[in-house]
Amino acid sequence: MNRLLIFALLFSLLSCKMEDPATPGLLVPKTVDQDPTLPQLAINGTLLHVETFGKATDPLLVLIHGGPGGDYRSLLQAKVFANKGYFVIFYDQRGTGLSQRVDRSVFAGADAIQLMIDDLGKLIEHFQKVNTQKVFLMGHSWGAMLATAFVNQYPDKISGVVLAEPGGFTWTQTEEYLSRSNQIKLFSEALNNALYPEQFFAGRNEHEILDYKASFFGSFENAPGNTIGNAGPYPFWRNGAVAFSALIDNAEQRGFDFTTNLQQYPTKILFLYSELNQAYQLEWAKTVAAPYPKVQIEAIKGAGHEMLHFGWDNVYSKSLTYLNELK
Amino acid sequence: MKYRFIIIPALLIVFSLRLYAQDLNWGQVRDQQNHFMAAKFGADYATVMGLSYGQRLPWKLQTFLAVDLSSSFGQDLLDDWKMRFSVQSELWHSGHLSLGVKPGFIIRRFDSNVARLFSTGVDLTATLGYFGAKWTFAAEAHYDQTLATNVKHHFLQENYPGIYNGWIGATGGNFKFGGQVGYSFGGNMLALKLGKAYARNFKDNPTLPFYFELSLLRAW
Repeated sequence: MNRLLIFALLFSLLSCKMEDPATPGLLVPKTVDQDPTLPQLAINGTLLHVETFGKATDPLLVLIHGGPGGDYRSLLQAKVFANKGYFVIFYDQRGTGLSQRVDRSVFAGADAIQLMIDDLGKLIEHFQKVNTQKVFLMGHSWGAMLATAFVNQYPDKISGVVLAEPGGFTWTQTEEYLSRSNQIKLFSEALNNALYPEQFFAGRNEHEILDYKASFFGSFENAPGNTIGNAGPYPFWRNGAVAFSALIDNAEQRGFDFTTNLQQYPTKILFLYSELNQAYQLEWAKTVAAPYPKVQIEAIKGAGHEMLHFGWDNVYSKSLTYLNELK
Repeated sequence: MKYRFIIIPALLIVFSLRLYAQDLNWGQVRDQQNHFMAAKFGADYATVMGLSYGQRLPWKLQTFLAVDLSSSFGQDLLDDWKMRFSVQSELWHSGHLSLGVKPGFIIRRFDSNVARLFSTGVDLTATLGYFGAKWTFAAEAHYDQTLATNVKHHFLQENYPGIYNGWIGATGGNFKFGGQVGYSFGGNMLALKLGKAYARNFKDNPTLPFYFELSLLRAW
């Protein structure tokens, strides 16, 4: 009887209210399907977090964030292009940022990257009022890779492209870059700060928990002394942990090559690399940009890989000059 | 409020004292030594180092009460640490074959510019193998379950002002499966553990997929 009372007491104490870490909005912001007040657009079978700035009839400028699994929050300074005669479109890619979460299986098939290309195509279709309205793409990191994948498939639809440090345009090339940019020091604070929290959060499948856990892992690339030259953490809404992991797995299994048709793109592109990213530099910029027939390569001084956040003024002036030439 | 998360698991361990196990070489310490101390270095989610101390309990069953403290490498050695209170006991032996279990109560802390985590948990290790006077060869299985975690956010608070700070419920559990080899000399044992680490659903597995530990133990 006494044991029963003790167990009843323990059970009642243990069942006192503690927050469930998977509760929407508790540890990561709510997504568009959980918060209807967020700007959103239903497109290509999913619900995306989308914001626009400027006059809808102006030339379109689509900002494409990095990752995969990142979001556009760190690119928001680009909305100033709206004051220069561009209709600026930001979107969080499928399953990332404040866009609706999607199941891992969505990114598992042969057409996972094609799905991301199709989402971008549908987004452009939605906002392009007439066929003559020019469309420009501005992509950062993985976003620059996705922009190139789109140009490779639809060279006639894009009037100009700004690419900021795409890892590579083939999986082999991307792997080579990643091996340089993610230099691992086993006994470093940076690596242990990324890995140690994994023992606190393990084996719960809820995306909210996986996304939260990814926030700790993401600190690695911004730690003091990081290879890619980031000055520190930069703002984001949500790390799309499932989208990131599934797309990387997909690339490892199937590879990709976004260069097969780039020779058909006659327009000059603007290719940006950052001065402080030790893993990139001019030589790698030339190597990656080579499949494009016409390339203008520019260095962004005083910034690292997250140049659209930390080196915005320099990025803006070079990009505006380039875009206005083609407008 | 927060003491509940420490006291309750401690009580659960006390109530479950019939189980128990070891990292000790029972062939070496059986009925002879009453204390042990160990220093270790290894990989356990991150690169870690640590110290252990154990004292024999005056029971018929070969049993040691032990405390382990480990910390991750890096510029700040005290920001991330794990403390485990455990009861190591030999459940069964026949000749040099031995089976033991080790239930424990864990407190762990992590701190970075992202957030501070403070967590309570329980774990259980089972070890089966050959424990000779000189050599030890054993297989081990381990499960570690978080009970409650207190979160206080730093950069994540700036990034998402609406984020919750406070206690959250169980955030998961981990399995480890591996083996150990030990060599005893005098009152010392040099041991190497190696194995695989898994999340409890065997899907969301750790980035560092293995664990290893090199330890030097002295019993007296």
